Amino acid sequence: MITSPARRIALALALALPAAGLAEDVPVPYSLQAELLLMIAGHDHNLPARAGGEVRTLVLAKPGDEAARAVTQFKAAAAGKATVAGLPHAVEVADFTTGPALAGLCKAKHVSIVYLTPGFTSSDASGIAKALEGESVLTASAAPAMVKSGIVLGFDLVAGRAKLLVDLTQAAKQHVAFGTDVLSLMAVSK
Amino acid sequence: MTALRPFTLAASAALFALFVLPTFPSAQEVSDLAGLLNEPVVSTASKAAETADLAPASATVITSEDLKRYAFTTLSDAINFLGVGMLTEQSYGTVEIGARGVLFTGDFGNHVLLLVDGHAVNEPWDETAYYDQSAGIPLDLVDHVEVILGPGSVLYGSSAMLGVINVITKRARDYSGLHLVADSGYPELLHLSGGFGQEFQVGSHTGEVVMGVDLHDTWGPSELYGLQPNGSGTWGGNATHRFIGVPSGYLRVSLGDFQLALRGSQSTRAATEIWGNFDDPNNWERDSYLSADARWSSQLSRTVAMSVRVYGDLYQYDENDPTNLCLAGQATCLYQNPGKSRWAGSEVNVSYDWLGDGRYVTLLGVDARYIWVYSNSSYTDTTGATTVIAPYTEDATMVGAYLQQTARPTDWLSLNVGFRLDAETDVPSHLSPRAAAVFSTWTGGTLKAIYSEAFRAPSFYERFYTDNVEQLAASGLRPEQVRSIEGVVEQRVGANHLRLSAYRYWWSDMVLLENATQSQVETAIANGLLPAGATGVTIYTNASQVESYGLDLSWDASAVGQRLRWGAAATLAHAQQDGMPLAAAAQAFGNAHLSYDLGGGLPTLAFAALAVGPRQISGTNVVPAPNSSALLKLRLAVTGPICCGLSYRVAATWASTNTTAYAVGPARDQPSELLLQPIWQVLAGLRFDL
Repeated sequence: MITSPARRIALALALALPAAGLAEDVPVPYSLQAELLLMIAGHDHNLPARAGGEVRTLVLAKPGDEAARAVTQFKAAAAGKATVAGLPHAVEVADFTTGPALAGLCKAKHVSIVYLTPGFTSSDASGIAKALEGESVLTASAAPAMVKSGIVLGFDLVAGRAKLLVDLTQAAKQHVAFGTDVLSLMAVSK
Repeated sequence: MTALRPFTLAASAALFALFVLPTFPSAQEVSDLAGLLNEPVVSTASKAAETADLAPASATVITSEDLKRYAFTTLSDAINFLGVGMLTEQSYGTVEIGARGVLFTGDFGNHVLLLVDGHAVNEPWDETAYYDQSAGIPLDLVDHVEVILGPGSVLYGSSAMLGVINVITKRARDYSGLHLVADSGYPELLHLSGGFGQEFQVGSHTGEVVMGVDLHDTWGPSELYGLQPNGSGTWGGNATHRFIGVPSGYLRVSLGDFQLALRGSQSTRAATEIWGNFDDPNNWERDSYLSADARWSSQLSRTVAMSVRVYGDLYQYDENDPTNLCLAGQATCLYQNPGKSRWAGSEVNVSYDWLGDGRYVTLLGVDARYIWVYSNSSYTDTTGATTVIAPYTEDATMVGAYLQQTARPTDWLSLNVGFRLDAETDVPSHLSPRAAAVFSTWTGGTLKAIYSEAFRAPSFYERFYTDNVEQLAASGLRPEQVRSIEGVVEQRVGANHLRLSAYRYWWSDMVLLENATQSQVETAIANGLLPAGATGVTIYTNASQVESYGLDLSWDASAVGQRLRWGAAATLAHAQQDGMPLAAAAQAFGNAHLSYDLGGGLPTLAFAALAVGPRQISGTNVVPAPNSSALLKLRLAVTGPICCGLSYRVAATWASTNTTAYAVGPARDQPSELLLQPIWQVLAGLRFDL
C-alpha cells in the first residue's frame, strides 16, 4: 500500500527510470561530426587506395530514437560534401546486425568510412573492431566511449569544443594511417 | 646591383613563405581542421547544442583549459583577460559587471543573468549575482563558461539585459578521481579547493557524481587613504582590515536521464569602504545562497524531446554597519538591513523536430515559480535597544512562457525566431522577442543579423524598501527594457577565427533613485509613511533612458598542434544615460593573450594583457565628474607538472594604477579619494590529481 508522498515519488522515479533508457552522451552536433570526420578522412594516407574511385561512407544504426535522429542529421550533413580528398563522395545507411556481416558489407560495397550512430554498446563495438581487423576501413563513433572498445575515432565535447579521440592500435589493424600533423590535434586513447 | 641580390633573394623567400606555403594543401587542411576544433559549441543561446557561428547571438566561450593555463581563480579575471565585450570593474568589496560600454553602478550584477548549469543565480530580492570570488562557484569544477552578449530574455526572462553567462561544470569522465588545490599569494590569499568525479553504473543506467568544495579568502591589501574631514573627526588613514571570505560547494549527481544539482555559497566582505565607517572590521555585508535543481531530460521519440526541471533556492543578505547615521536621538548605532528571498518553481519544455533532421525545430516552454521575500532595516543603539523600520514580507508568482522556432532551409541560411511572455504579481507583463538570421554564404564565413529585446523586473528591494525617513517605497515600478539590433561577421581562416560585431541598443524605463515629487511626499506624510516636514525624500522611479552603440572585434588562433594559442579582443562603444556618460563604464577596452605549452613535462607559459580606457568616476558629486585613469593590467602565468599527479602554478599580475573608478570617503564634493586596488597580485599554488 503506497501512502506517503515520498513513497509515491520513489515509485514514480522507479517506473520512469527504465522508460527513460540509457542516457548516452552525444554532445558534439552531428553536422559538426560529419564535417570533422570527412576532413580527417582526407588525412588518412590509405584513403585513396581504399576508396578506389569513390569514397563511400556508411552510416550504421541500431534501432532507437536518438539513432534515427543521428542518421538523418549526419547523413544530411555528410551528403553535402560532394568530394572527400578530391574524390567523389557517397553516403549510405545500413542497420547493424553483426560485426562479420558489417565486414562483408564493407567489402561488398567498397566502404571507406563507417560511422556508428548512438545506441551501440561496448560489446557491439568490440565485435565490429574484431571483424574489421585486417580490412581497410576507418570507423568512427558518435559516442566517445566506443573508442575504448575498438572504434578508431570518436567525438567528444570538452570545455565547449569538439575533441577527437583515436585508437592508434586499432587504426593500424584497419590500415588507417594518419599523419603526425593531424595526430597532434587528437587525443590518443591507447 | 650585386648588393641588392641577397636582399632580393631574402625578399623572394619571404614572399614565397608568406603566400605559397600557407596554401600548400595539406598544411592548409590541417589548419582548417584545427580551426574547426577551435570552434566553440554552445547551448545557451537557443537551449540546443550548436556551433557558436550559427548561434542566434554573439556567443563566446572561456574554457577550463584557459582557466588552468592562466591560473585564474575568479570568473571576473577570466572575463576581463579572455572575454569579448564584457568587463568587470573593481568596486567596493566585489566587482561590477558591464558590457559594450554600459555598466550600471550599484546594480549588484542584476543586469546580467548568471546561470550555473542552466540554473539562475540572480535572486529576486535585489536580483543579485556576483562575478568575482563572491560568485561562489568552485572554479576547479568549471568545464567552460558561455558568454552570450546582448539581450537574452527570450528564453531566460528577467535580468538578461546585458547578456547571459552560463557556467557549465565538468562531466565526471573529464574530472575523474580526487583533485586538491592549495594557493597562496599577495595580497594575502588562501585558496583551498577539493573536488571529486566518478562515473558509476546502476543496472543498465550510467550515472556520475561530480562535487567540489572551495574556500577563497583574501585579506587586505593595506592601503593608505588620504585624510578627509568627517563631521567632527576625520576619515582616512591606513586601511588594513579588508577581508573577503567565500566558502562554496557544488554537487551534481546524474543517473540515466535524471540529474540533481546542489549549490551553496556564502560571501562575507568586511571593511570594504562601502559605507562611512573607515576600516572597521565590524562593518560587513554577507550574501548566502543555497540552491537545488532536479531535472529529467529525454528524447521521447525521433522528433520529440522533453525536459522537466524542478528547483528551489534560498538567499539571504545581511548588512552590519556601525554608523553615526542613525535615528533621531541616537549618536551612534548599528544599522542592519537583512534581505531574504526564497523561490521555488518548475520549468517544462518540449521540442518538436518536424522532419527529424534538426532543420525545423519548435521549442515550447513554461517556467513558473513562487517567490517569497522578507526585509527590514533596523537600528540598534548603544544600550542594545533595536528599532525595526518598515519591515515587509511579500510573495509573488511568476510565469514565463516561451516559444522558439529554428529553421535551416538551406545549407547557407539559419533562422531563429522566438518570444517569451513573462507575468509576475504586481509587475506589468513583458514580451521579449528575438529574431536572428545567419547566412553562411562563403567558405568559413557567416553573417548574422539579430534583433532582440530583454527586460529586468523591478526588484523587491526597489519596490518595497523604505526607511520611513527619507526613502519611499515604489510599488508602481515598470520593468526596465532594452532593444538591440546587431550585425556580426565571422570568418574562419585556417586556425584563425575573426569576428566583428556592430550593435545599437535602446534602453528605457531604467530605474533610478530620484527625488520624490512634492505630491508623493505630501501623500506619504498624510498616510503616516514619512514624518511631518520630511525633506530630501527619494524614491525609485522609471526615470532614465540609455542609448549605446559600438563595435566588438576579436581574433582567436592556434598553431603547433594547438599548443600555441593566442587571441585579442577590443570593444569600442559610446553609451550615454540621459545624455550623460555612465559612471565607471569603460567605452574602450580590450585584451590580448598568448600561451604556449612546451610539452614533454615542461611548463605552459601564458601571458595576458587587459587595457581599459578612462571612465567617469562613480560616487563623486563634482560636476562634471572627472575621469579615472586608464588601466593596463599584465598577467604572466607558468603552470606545469612536478610528478606523481602533483603540479604547480605561479602567476603575477601588474596594474598600471592603484586607483579604481569609485570614490570613497565622506568628501564627495571635491576631487575624491578613490577606492584603491593593489598594483601587484601574486599567486603560487600546488595541485594534486589522484
